[in-house]
Amino acid sequence: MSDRTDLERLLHEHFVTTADPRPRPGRLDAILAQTSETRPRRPWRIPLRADRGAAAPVISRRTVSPWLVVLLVLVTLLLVAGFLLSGGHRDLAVVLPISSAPTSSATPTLAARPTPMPSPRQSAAVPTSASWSSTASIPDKQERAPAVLLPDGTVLVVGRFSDRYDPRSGTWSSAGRIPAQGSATLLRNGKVLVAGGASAELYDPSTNTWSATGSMIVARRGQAATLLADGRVLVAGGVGAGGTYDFLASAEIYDPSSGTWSATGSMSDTRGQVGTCCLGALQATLLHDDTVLVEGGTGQVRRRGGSPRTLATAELYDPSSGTWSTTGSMTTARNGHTATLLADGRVLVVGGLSASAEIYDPRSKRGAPLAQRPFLVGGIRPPSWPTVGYLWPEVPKVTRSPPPSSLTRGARRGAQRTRCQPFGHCTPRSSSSTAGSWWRVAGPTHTWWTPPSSTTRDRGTENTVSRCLPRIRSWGDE
Amino acid sequence: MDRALVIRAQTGDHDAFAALAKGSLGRLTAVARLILRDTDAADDAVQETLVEAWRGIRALRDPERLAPWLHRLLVRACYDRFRRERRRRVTEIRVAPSAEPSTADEQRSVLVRDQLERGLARLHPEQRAALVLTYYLDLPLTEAAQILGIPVGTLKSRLHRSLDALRASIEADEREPARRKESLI
Repeated sequence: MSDRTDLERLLHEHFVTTADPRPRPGRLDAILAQTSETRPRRPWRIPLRADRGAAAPVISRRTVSPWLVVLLVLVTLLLVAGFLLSGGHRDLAVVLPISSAPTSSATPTLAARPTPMPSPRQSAAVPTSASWSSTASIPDKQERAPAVLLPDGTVLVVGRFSDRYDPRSGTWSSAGRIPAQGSATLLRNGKVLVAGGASAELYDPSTNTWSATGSMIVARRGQAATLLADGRVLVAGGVGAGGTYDFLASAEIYDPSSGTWSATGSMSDTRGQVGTCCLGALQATLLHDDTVLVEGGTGQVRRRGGSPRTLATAELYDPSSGTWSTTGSMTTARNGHTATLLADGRVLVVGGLSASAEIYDPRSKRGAPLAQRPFLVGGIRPPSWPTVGYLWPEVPKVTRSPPPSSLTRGARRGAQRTRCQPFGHCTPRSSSSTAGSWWRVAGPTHTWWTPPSSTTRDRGTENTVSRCLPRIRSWGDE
Repeated sequence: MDRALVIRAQTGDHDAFAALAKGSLGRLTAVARLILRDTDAADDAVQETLVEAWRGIRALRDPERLAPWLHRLLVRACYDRFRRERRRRVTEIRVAPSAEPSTADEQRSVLVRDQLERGLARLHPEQRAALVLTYYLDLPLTEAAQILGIPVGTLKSRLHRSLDALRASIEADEREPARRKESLI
């Protein structure tokens, strides 16, 4: 044993005989699920030197970490200087409670349709203490079920079951059977349209009953749905009957007066959510000019093709002409984000597996400071999500991996180039012919996932409203 | 074959990457388990390695160098995993086959294996990584040094010290079998 050669030989034999190359079952699937929703990031390479011996000077590309260090130091100094000059502490996020003002400004975040910004008088009533309190547990297991704020102040949650929550008494009651899982949209007549699969049904809160209505032309789930200004409902995208990756670009309109669906123009990109985990998470926002903004999601960019990926693109639907037009792309690809219409007509988009936020301005290509009034956004922080899903890289291991926000870094090529002051407004470096532009703003401290309209988490009997919406944040700026 | 797959993966073809991952998973798993000696931690390290490989595959300039690049990512992941797991370190004991060795040679083999296992467990993961790359993967010293991110001279001295420590551990076990049995109890 004392001879080193013998020891090396024994070591080699020992390694060969004891090495266990058999991965655990399902490990490869978990890894591939984690990688399937992202794209390889672009390498940081800068020209460094000319190759010696080449006939003509050929600049080779080489990754140089010291350059990156210098660059990062400079960027950090600029950020700090900009922060100090702009007094940027004014738009830091503040955690606000939902429980102390359940019927005013807090509950609108539960609405499936993005609720307009409360008036200044209403916003003055926004609670300022930061606390949560539990309320009665939801009686049925609900998973990612859309919730709709009804005119009487109660909240309808429609998932695998239908339940109704009364914030005044803090109690739940059954809302009868649930015919189909899908999007839930509050109509002008006070009824709720639930559309999923090929079927659609109406819920009447006054009688607590369901009734069938016309079926959708294309069976879909996980679609974007919003109430149009004329009282009709736009449904766009989603996942079709062809399987998990059958993302749709088509859209259709529901007319409550006739109870029928009609096809309308299709989006440029297929757009939906992957699987059942994210039903209802695709966002559609009715803007002040009556057009509808749909952004992000998972799908295929038409001009690029290839496998589905998280999207940064956005499109506008014009109900008057029934057509879609592309608008500026977000600076970050997002899936499962929130979209909130602000009082000034702009749209705040937060999260979507990214701890960042940006604002869509439909009117101007120039950035402008945020409105002074605070508004509420909410969502579920991915690490708290207990489901080990194969559809998204949020398997438990991901909490030990780089943050999901880095997954979307590669999708920024289509983003508009901007020059931003930290925590301030931005100005574009180059003008774009497309109306509407996106502006990065200070993001939340955590990565957000799932809009508040998709509510509950499945934890057996432990479902509570507070668990459904673990964080509500108020966000202000000057 | 791998070169074509790597090039396809660099263009964003996830199916090509899946084929590469499938082909590399066994080898990476074995190496990680030998370095970390903890199945869970090793599997985590492999997962982090392949995820990081997918994210950074465009940075791989030479498609022929996929395997060394993966090994480098794996070694880093193992180091990171070891640092994170150090606080709540749980010693994993491999359960040997229950059949008793029947011949003297088999008994000797089991004894040697036990001594090697014990000696390897006493080494630092950086030392085990050097040994695994050199004596399990049979990599040339220059390549192993590149993977470990150290000069060849440093690798040589690390191997030297590791083998010395291993030999000292084995000889100590041979000299004091009684004390070893007591420590097992």
